[in-house]
Amino acid sequence: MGILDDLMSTLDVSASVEDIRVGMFHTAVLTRRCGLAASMPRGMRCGKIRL
Amino acid sequence: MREPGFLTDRSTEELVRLACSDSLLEAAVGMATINSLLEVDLDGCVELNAAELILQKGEGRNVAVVGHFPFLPQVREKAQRLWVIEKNPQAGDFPEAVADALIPQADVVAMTGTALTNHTLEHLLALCSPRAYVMLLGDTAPLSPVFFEYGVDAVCGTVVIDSEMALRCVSQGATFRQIRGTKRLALEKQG
Repeated sequence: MGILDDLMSTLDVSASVEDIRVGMFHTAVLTRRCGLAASMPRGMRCGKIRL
Repeated sequence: MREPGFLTDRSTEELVRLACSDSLLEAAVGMATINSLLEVDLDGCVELNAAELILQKGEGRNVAVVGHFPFLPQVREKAQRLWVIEKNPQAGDFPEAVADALIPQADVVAMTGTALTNHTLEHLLALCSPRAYVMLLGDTAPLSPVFFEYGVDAVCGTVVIDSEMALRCVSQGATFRQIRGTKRLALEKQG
């Protein structure tokens, strides 16, 4: 099992999705709480970059 | 992004699975969903930003940083050597092609949490020396002890303390330094 699978297995997904915002620099998702992630440049796909 | 405008109709589980998507936009939604669901052990975290921890661990040592972070000039002053590895290198940075050669030489390795979004984290971790102090950092980095099983020593991430403010900042193009309603925390491996 990979890191992402391990991480996902720790989550309680019984929450509804209240809001999603995709900004230039950040992405935010509101479920039980608000979570952030860095937005990634448009058009880039996994496998075409290494870092 | 598939089905923009209808993402909130999808289940939380579906959004979590987007973290595995080949589309970086979708994978970012997946990572943000993971961070929204994570039960962060706040008592196990310390209020410390990534720059402070890198300066603490990297003084007089060889430091590799994957991603161009704003605090790097301070690290450059303290570290013996600093290698900044960046996909779009700025002056003094190294291109990603040399990551495989530089990371194994580093005593301290700090890598951006976006390595989860683009699915390169496992490769980067495999490059780290077993003796290296390894950090995962940035808003994407989930404050989870799961990473300690994979050789990470500390996660420097973000928790949102004011959702309304954070959402507004995201919508209005806030950068890493501009976003408000958040707290920067570090979770360090014990023992």
